[in-house]
Amino acid sequence: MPCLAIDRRLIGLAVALLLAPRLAEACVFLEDQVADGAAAETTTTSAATAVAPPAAPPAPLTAQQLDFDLLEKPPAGIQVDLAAVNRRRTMLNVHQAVGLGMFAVALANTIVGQLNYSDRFANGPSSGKYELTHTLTASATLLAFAGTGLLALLAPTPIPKEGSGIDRLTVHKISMATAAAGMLAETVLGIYTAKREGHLNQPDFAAAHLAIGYVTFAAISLGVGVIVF
Amino acid sequence: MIRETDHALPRLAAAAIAALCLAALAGCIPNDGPAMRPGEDCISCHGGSTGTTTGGRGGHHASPAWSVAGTVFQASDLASGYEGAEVQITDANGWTFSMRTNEAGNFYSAESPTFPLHVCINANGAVTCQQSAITSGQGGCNSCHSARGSVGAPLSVH
Repeated sequence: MPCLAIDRRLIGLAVALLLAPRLAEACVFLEDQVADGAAAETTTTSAATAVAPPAAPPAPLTAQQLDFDLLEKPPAGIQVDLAAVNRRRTMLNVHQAVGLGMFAVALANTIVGQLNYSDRFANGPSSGKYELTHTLTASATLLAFAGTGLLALLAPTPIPKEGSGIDRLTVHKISMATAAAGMLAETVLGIYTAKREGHLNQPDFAAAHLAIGYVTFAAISLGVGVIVF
Repeated sequence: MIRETDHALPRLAAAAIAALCLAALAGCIPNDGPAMRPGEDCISCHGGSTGTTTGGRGGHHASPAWSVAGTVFQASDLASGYEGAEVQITDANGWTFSMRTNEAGNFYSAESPTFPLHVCINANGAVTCQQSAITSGQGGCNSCHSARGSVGAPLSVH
């Protein structure tokens, strides 16, 4: 059946002619896609080569490996001696009360000390009427200061202080250390000044005693102020 | 939130008020202070390490030693001390120093000048000097300048 055979070839040729433009467009599209994919693969491979070698595919985790804690273990708790904490609280409460009393006595002592200096050395009547009071207030201030300091120094510290830097307590401690040095100097200088009675240089020692006294009281005031205010 | 230090503020104020009250109440002239026993012979007790005085707080206690001491009274009122007079001392070596009389008129020194001494008193610019020199052992001015002393009258200025 040649006619039938011709017809089949003709039909095939016609179909081919009809589809030819579509095939050409498809080929162009496929060629573009292949070119873009090759470029992207080349870039990715270069980057991977720069960071790390390509990793092998992960092995499946075993059940033992999957048995882990999601959160970190908490740090070991601090062993606190509650009796020591209570003792510290009591001692520091007493320290505060005695310290405020000491501040009052120190203020009175400073006032009386200035009155005594003015009476004795600053062209005053030199009656000596503030000497006994100044001796008493100075002794009371010294005792109260020593007691207040011992209460703080001997208080237990069951919880160690964390952190560093300058805070109120640090300023308080520095101020009171300065005041302690001033107290010591005032005691020695005060006794020596009294022993220089009748000597020409007694007013000079008295002036030094007065100046150190003001510095000492300023240190006490700063130390109290940073805690109270 | 109430801090513990909040309770400290009124305590601090109360302490300051107490201190001011204490300071206001202070002050009593001691019987054995710089104004003690005007007109008496100071050196009889303050003459050396063995000197003692009867203090206002009772009992005898060691007295500081003075080389020169005395009392200046007001000429118009011999019962009142002259406050603020400047007593100038010049010793045998030419060393000069001065003392200021207190409210009782007393003056004293623990310095060690070399005798004989020359003494002048400057009261409000009027300077009066003793004619004779003061020899050793005569540092107690009131021993002579008193009603019972050789001068027969206390040391006084106008």
